[in-house]
Amino acid sequence: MMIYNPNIKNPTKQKVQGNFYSLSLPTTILDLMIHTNSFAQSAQKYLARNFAQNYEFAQSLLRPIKDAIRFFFVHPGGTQWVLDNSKNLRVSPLTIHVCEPALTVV
Amino acid sequence: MTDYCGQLALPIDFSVEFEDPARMYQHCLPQVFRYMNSVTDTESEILALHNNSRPRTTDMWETVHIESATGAYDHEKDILQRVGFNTVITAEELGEVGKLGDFDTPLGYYDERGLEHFWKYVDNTINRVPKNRMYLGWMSTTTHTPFRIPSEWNGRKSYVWTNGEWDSVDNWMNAVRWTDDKVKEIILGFRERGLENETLFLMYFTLLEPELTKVTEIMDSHSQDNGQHLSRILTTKPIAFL
Repeated sequence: MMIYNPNIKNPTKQKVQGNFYSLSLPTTILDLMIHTNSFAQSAQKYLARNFAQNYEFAQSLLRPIKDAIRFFFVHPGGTQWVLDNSKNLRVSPLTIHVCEPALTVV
Repeated sequence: MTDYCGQLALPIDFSVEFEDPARMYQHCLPQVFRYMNSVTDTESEILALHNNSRPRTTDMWETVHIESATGAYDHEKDILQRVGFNTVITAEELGEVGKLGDFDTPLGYYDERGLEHFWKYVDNTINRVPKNRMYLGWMSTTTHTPFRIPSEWNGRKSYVWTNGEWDSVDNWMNAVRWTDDKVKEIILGFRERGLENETLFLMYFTLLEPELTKVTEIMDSHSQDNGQHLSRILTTKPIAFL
């Protein structure tokens, strides 16, 4: 994938090397548009961020790597899971709120 | 579906991915941009939306997909509409609107002909008031078999030694070169219209890595079943950068 706009400066012609899924395209595009203030209204920016974070395999080329073991359904309602070490994915870390009350019981 | 929706093709016979038992399980980018038309920060527009009194008028998004290939193969046009594009223009529409007659290639028309309509669409859209934002996709099919390029193109040359055996590889490389020229032409076209700064150009070529390793095999067999050898250019406008 190549991204071009005159305002994006890359004088050293640096390439991002990595093993990325093409499935990351929608999330990356939304992240990029949020990052560049391409949405005129905050409501639209909020909506874009929500979509970007909630794609299945929501890896984006722009998000920082957060080490975590994560589980995905292969497809919704299915029985097969994918275990991922997050090295190749760039999404917000999964938070498991269910565990929190049990940890705070004294 | 990979590019627009972030999901792989569903394992459904005849590619009817929008009917039961198939289920497109997440939103595609054109749908996201359409949803954006229903949210706003502007107080008067919030009230208008709430009362259904009038549609929004500011920062609206249009979603358009244009290609010069047929949209009838494998329900492609149906899928693109289901993916969320408001407007889908394929060879059938080009033939009807432009009175182009028979297809130039087994796929549809030369991309050159499709681009004429691409610019007409862009010019009509940017001259409209109010000026909407646009999520515009152009898909080239010149790099798809049978790699046919208009004869008036003078950039053709031989990239590989050929005695007939490698003609298909040579044709494919010329098709890639032709597409490079068109990318330049598209960017310059936006520059002439004063839209280059406010447009984000995304270019990708959907030749998958496993296919690259056996590209000659694909080219020689002229098979159309080994993946989509298509170039896509997505543009959005106007777009502001930091």
